[in-house]
Amino acid sequence: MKRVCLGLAWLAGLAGLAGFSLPAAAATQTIVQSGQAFSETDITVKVGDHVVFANKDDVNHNILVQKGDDDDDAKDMGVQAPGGSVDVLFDQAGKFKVRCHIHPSMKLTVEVQ
Amino acid sequence: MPFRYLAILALVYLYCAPQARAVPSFAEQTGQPCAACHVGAFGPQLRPYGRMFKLNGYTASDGKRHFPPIAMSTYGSFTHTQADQPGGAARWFADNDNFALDQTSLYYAGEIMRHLGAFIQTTYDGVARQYHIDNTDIRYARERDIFGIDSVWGLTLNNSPTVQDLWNSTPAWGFPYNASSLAPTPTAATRIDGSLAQQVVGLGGYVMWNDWVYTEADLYRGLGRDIRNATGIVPVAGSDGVVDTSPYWRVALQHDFGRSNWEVGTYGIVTHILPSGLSPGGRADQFTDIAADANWQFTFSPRQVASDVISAHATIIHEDQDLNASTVLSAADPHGRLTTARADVSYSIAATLTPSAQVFRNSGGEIVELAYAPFGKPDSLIHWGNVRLAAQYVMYSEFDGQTHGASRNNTLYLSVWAAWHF
Repeated sequence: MKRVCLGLAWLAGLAGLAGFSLPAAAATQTIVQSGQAFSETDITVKVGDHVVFANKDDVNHNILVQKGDDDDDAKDMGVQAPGGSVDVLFDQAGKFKVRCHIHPSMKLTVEVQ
Repeated sequence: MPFRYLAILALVYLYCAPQARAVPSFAEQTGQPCAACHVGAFGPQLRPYGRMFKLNGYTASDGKRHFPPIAMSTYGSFTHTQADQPGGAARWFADNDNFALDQTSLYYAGEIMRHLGAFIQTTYDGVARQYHIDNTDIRYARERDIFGIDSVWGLTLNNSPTVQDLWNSTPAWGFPYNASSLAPTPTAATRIDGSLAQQVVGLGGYVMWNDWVYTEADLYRGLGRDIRNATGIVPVAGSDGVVDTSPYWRVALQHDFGRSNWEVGTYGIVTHILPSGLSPGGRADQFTDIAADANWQFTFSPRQVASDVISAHATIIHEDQDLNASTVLSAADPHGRLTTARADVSYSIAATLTPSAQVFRNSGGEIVELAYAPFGKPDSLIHWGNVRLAAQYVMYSEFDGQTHGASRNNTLYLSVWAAWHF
């Protein structure tokens, strides 16, 4: 395993010398749904990052992702049971509003750079 | 043998049916138990989520199709008054110690289409033995940024001033949430305190700005005699009639501060009434009601739907009466004033046992109540409805201006209230 890691580091160094850059690994951020609220109100992620929504309440939640103010094309991730989680991939740059369609007061803004 | 099968079927239904509900079709639509919206797991006292659900036009849902949102409720009771009521507490009832099936209601309660929802209640009154259109509130609501701030705006079409209100301090949904129809009740009441209910229809607009400032304005018109006849609003002959347009307003400041939710506000209405439907010389009585109210709710554990909750509500209503028509008809004083006030507090234990107490003034007295709702929590055994058992005692120290003998109207009221969805 150590030899493989060293090999990858050598390749990365070589790519850097040649003027190439390797894409950064996708990151995952966790948002907790608790007390009928998201744990954050605004977050910033990079294109390709994931956000995991973890339901710590004892009732169902839902994740609705919409771009801008127009909710006609909102992406509905379905019902999220207590203890369940939903993984959302943000693969476009822009500003997204995340809502719970069951609990309209739950609001999160995700800025994807 | 058939009883064994019925018992098995009943048990299967108890375990397999959807979660227990508030107005059961609302809860079916959202997938939330009764306790998510209601203090004590049984309506109509709202928690912050219940208010948000109403503000957003009864349209919040789990995304599944639940059409049509139909539910039923019924409650029966036993009433004992300290003194008998000679001649009967009401037609068909004895002087005292009466059992009654008070009300049976059918509801359309839920989303009609995107952004549009309704609460429409029709009721069979088991005391008056009449059917009528009851509380109705049809809403259209949208979320929009106003001055860069999240806001909700909407329209309401309703048939009772304050039935559209979000707080339980105002008359339509105030404590006590059910009361005896077979006990004496004070006759002096302000116009906004129930006497316009189902007699009018109004259209209004509202905005909740930044979850802080709520403003609303409505215009009401009295329903004509034919419509009141058709919708079962009786008595029509010889009853007061609402004329002209009645403006209604509501302004409230509210917010969540940690585990507390606060509200202070004002509301009111100006109405023109034809006493007994008569208009001597084209005159009408004018009533100007101006009220202030406040609410406080404290949720001990916001992560738990069945958390203990303390709630307190208070309102004071002042009415100026310009009795331009009544003074011609009955030589009444041309000007009058009436001020009523009440305040209540409840402590809901695990959304199951809810003791409450209220003091009220004008006619003066207190109400104490103990309510028990066994279901409506996330882990409830029964998943298709709920029941509320309540014991209530009303004590009068003053009744319609009289202190002597006021306690003869004291009332013990025991009730069983059930609600379920289809």
